[in-house]
This record gives sequence, C-alpha cells and structure tokens, in this order.
Amino acid sequence: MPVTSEIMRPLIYAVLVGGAAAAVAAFWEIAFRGMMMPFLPGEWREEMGFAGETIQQIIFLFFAPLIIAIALFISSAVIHLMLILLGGTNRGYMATMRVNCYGETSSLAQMVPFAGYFFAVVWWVVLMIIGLAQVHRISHGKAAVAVLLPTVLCCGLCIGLIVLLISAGVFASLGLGGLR
Amino acid sequence: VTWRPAASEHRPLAFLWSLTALATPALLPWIAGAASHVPCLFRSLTGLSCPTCGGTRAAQALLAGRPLEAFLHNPALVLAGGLLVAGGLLAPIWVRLRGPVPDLGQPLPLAVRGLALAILAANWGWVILRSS
Repeated sequence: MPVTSEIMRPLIYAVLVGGAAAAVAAFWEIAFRGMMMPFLPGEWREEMGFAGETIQQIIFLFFAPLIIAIALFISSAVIHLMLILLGGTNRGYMATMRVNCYGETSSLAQMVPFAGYFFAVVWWVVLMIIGLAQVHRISHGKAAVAVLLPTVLCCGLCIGLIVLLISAGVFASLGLGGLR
Repeated sequence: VTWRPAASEHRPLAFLWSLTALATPALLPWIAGAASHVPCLFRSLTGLSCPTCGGTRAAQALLAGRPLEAFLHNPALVLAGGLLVAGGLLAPIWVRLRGPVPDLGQPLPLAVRGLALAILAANWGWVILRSS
C-alpha cells in the first residue's frame, strides 16, 4: 500500500465512514432526547427546544462531509507540525494525512449509544500512534507525544475530566472506594 | 528541505486546502459566537492560558475589523490563520503552474526545530502575560 501519494481514496473513505458514524450518532441523540423529553421538568423541556436541536443536527449532517474533510486537513497539519518539532518526519505530510484518514475508522465507535464518543477517542489515539509509528518509522513514544500533546494542551484536560467524572460516578454508584 | 515541482498527486491536497481557506471566513462567526461560551479547561484547571487561548477574542476582533488587536491576542494563531487562507487561495494555481513544493519527508535540522519551538514557546508566553 502506498504511504505517501494518492490522498483521494483515503479521504473518500474517511468522509464516508465519518459521515455514516455521525448520522447514526445523531439518530441516537435525537431518539434518546425524544424518549427523555416527557420525563423532564417543563422549563428544561423549553430550554432544550427539541425541534430546534433536531433541525440543527440535520443541518450539521448535511455539512458533515465538508466538516470531516476540513477537520482531517487541519488536524493532520497540527500532528505533522508536532512530528516536525520532534524530528519524527521520515515521510511527508501526505503520509500523516493518510494515517489520519484511516484513523477515522474509529468514528464507527460513535454508533454505540452513550459511551460511543469515549470509545471513539481512545480508539483514534491508538490507531494514530500505531499508524504514525509505522509510516514515519518512529518509536511509539514519539508518535504518542505527537498525537497527545496538542490534545492535552488544548482540550485533553477536558476529556480527562470527563473520564474522571464518569469513573467517579460509576464507582460511587457501585459503592466502591472513597469517592462517595 | 528539498524542493520539487508540484505533481498531479498534490492537486487533491491543494483543492482541500482551498476548500478550508474558503470555509474559514464562514467559520469565524461561529468561533466568535458559539465557542465564546466554552471556557478553556486548561486555564480553569491550571490558572494558565493554553497556547490557543485568545483565538476566540482574535476572531471577534477580526470580525469587528480590528486586525491589529486580533494579532495581539494570539500572534502565532492569527498568522497561521492568515497563512491558511492565503495559501489555500494560491495553492490550486501554484500546483497548476507546477511551482516548487517542499518535501517535508526528512527530519529538519535541530537548529531549525529549536527555533520553531522557541517561537511557539514565546507566543505562549506572550498569551499568558497578556491574559494575566
């Protein structure tokens, strides 16, 4: 398989996979919101505005292929910049972009209701580390730094916090540990 | 860094860059509006601004027609945004003319990487100082 040229096929693959995953994730969100709505207090229901949110989600789905392509282009640039700074670019930007496109496979995990986003993020990180290490012929540690550092500096703490809160909630509900 | 004439394999990338450049001005109002309601968690937890802090304020300043103020909020981010838009508009023409493109397939010299890192660190320092 080529690793440096021909970006079109990986990009089409990423857009198709990412678009399908986004559609299923949106379906779950709309369905669960609809199911929850009768049990919510009146003011919450007004604030959530079911119809407005649903329309927003449908508009987002319409633009999803474009958003996915742009997000892949920019995130690949950020990761490649990190690889340049770490001295880990044994192949060009196209190679990083291809890894990122195939890493979009992880978005399929979004099809799992509730915890899908969390699984998708973890899977994406794993795929990216393995892919970048193989393609650029660098260590897994260097690939991990290139993938995780931008995330940690900008929004990784957010993910970490969410994971912490979910774990704390699960442990507390099970009555384990001192997290009550 | 070695340079070589642009080839047909660069066309999809140039098109994608161009698409991103055209979408960026459309995304500015969203960044300035919706994103301003999302607090920076790095800052909330550490008390320090993150390297991309000031991006929302820069977008708001750009929309209000104050580019200098936008630049001062986060110089590297605004410059990168400017390069993204300008480069994206030129990329398809450049590839069609078979202009030289850099081959970033080898590790850059340590001095160049050190300089790039120093510039990014200085920018982060500026953002922290400005917001404190």
